[in-house]
Amino acid sequence: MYSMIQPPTKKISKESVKVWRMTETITNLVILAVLSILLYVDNYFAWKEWIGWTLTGLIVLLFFHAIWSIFIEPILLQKYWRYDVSEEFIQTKQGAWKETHELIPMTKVQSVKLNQGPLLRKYNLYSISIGTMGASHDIPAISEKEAYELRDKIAHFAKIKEVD
Amino acid sequence: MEEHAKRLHPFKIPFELGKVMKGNLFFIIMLYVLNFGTEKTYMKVLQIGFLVYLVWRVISVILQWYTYKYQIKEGTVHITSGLISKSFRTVPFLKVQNVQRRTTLFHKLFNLTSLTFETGMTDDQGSVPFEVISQKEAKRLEQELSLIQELSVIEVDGTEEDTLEIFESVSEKTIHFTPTKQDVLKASFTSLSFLALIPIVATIYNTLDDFFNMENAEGLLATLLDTWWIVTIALIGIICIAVAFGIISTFVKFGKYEISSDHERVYIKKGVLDESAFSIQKEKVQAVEITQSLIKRMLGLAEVKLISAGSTGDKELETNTLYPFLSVDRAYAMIEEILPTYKVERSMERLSKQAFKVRMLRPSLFWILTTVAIYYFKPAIWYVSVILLALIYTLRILDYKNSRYLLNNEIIQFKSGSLETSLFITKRSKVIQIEVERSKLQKLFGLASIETVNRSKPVHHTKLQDVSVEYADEFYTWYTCRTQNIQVE
Repeated sequence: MYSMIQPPTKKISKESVKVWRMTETITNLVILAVLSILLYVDNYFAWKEWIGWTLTGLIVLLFFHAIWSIFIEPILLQKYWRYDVSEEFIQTKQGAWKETHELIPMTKVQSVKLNQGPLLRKYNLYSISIGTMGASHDIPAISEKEAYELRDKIAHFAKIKEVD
Repeated sequence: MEEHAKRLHPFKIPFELGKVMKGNLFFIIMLYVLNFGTEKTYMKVLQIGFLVYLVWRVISVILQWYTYKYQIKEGTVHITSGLISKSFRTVPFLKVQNVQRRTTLFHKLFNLTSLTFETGMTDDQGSVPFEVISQKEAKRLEQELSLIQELSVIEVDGTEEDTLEIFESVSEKTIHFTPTKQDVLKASFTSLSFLALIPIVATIYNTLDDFFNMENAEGLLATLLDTWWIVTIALIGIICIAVAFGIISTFVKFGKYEISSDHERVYIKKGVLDESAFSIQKEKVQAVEITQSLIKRMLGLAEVKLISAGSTGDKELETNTLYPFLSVDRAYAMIEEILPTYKVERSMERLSKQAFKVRMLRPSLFWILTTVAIYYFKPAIWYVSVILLALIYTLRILDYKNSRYLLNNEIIQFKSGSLETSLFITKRSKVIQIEVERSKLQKLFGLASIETVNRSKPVHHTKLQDVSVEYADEFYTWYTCRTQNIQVE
C-alpha cells in the first residue's frame, strides 16, 4: 500500500487512552451492576436454574471483556489511528488486527461536527464527525486547537460541491 | 415558465375514498351490515361514532385535495398543502434523480396516471408524488423536467449554438428492446412461473374441500387412478394449464416491455394491465449491476439493473431493471448502447492462487459455532456438521472461481458471488468513498479487500475480498485521481 500516495500521518491525542479507559470502566461497571442486581433478584425469588447460570456466565465474560477493553484496546486504538486532511481528500487508517483505510473525497462532505462529552472536556479534547451522503466518519479525541482548525479546514474545502 | 398553481385531478378524491373504505372495510361490515338495526345501546353508540369518523375522513380527503397545489417556477416545483398548518415545499428539478410513473387499471380507465419525482434525499421527504393526474399533465411535467436537466448539461459543456441542435436530437427516441414471443416464452420457463399454479390449485382444493365432502371424492379418485389413460390425460391437461398459466402471467408482467433512450435519458416501460415506467437521466445513473442466478447462468441470460441515487419504489416492481431475461451478449451490448460513457470489458482479472489459499484457511465462525452447538446438544447428528463444512467450502470455491475485477480507465468492474453472481460496474466520479481493508491473515499472504461506496437508496457498498495488495494500492491511487474528471458546481 501507499506506493504513490502519502499515507495519513496525523495521530490522535495520547490523552484519548485515558478517556477511553474511563468510559470503558464506567460502562463495564454499569453492566456489572445491572447483572449483579439481576443475580441478586434471581437468588431472592428463586427463578429457574438456568437463569442463574447464564447470569454467572455473563459476569465471567464481562470480566474478560473489561480486561480487554480497559487495559488493552485503548492503547491499540490510539497507536494505530491515523488521519489526514488535504484539499481533495480525507484519509483515515485504523485497526491493529484488521487494518482499514478510508478515502473520502472532500466534495462529498456534507457536514462537520465537533463533539465533546464530559470526559473529553476534562482533557480538553474534541471528537470530529464528518457527515457524507453515505455515512458519518468520526475522528475521536483530538486537541481543542487542532479540532477547531480541522473543522474550519474541512468546512472551507468542502464548500466546493460536485455536480451530482 | 410562469403558470398558475394547480391541483391534482379531482379523481384523487374517489381514489383516496376507495383507500379509506378498503382500510375500514372490516369495521363497516361489522357495524352496519352484521349489526344492522341492532337494539344494543353500545352498538348504536359505536355506529354513530364510527359514522362521524367516516364523515370526518371524507371531508379531510376533500380538503386535502383542495389545499394541495403545485406550481412549476424557474425549474423548481413548489408545493403547498395543509389547511390549518400550511406546509410549503420546493424541489429543484436539478435534484431529481429519476422519475417513476405507475398506471394502474383504475388510472387507465379514466386516462390518468401517477407520477413520482425521486430525489436523492435520505429521509422520507425524498420523493415528490403526484398521485392522480391526467396523462397529458404527467407528460408535460416530465417534459418540463427533462428540459431543465437538459439545459444544465448544455450550460456545463456547450455553447448557445449547440442548444438548438441538441434540442432537436432530444426528441428522437431509439427503442433498444421489446421482447419477442420467444423472449416471453424463455422468460416464463426461466422464472419457473408455471410453478406458481401450485399454490393457487392448493387454495382452490382447500376451498372446495370445505364445501364438499372430499372423503367420497377421495374414493372416486382412487378408482380413477386405476385407469392409466385417465391419469395420463389428466396429467397432460394439468401440465398444459400450468404452462399456459405461466406464459400468461409472464406476459402480463413482462410482455409489454420497452427499453428506449434519447440523447439525454433512459426509459424503461413495462406491464400489460398495471403499467409502470421509469426514466433516468443518463448522467445520473450511479452504476450498473448485472446479476445472474444459477438458472440464468446455465441458459446464458442476465438481468441488468440501473442504480439510481433516488428511490426506485416498490422493490417487487423492479422498475429500474432492464429486461431481466436478456441474453448475456445483448445485455452487455445494451449497456454500451444506452450509456455511451460506459465501456464494459468482458475479460477481467481473476484472483490469485494466494487468494485461494487464504479462502481455504480462513476459519468459518458460523461452522465453528454450529459444530460446538451440535457437539454440546445433540452429538448424534454429527454428520450435519460435515455436510455444512462441505457446503461452505463448495460455496467458497465457487465464489473464488467467479470473482473477477478490472480497472479500465474511469470504469471499475467487480464480479463476485457463488451461486448467484453479480457484476458491478461504475465510474470513478460516481464512487463517493472507498475503503481498503487488510486483516492479519491477508497481510501474511500479501492480499487486501477493496470496497466502493455508491449513492443509492440505501447507499450501495460493493466489496471484493482478497485481491493482491499491489492491486489495492493501484485502486487507492486510481481513486485519488478522480479529481481530474469531476464536474464542480
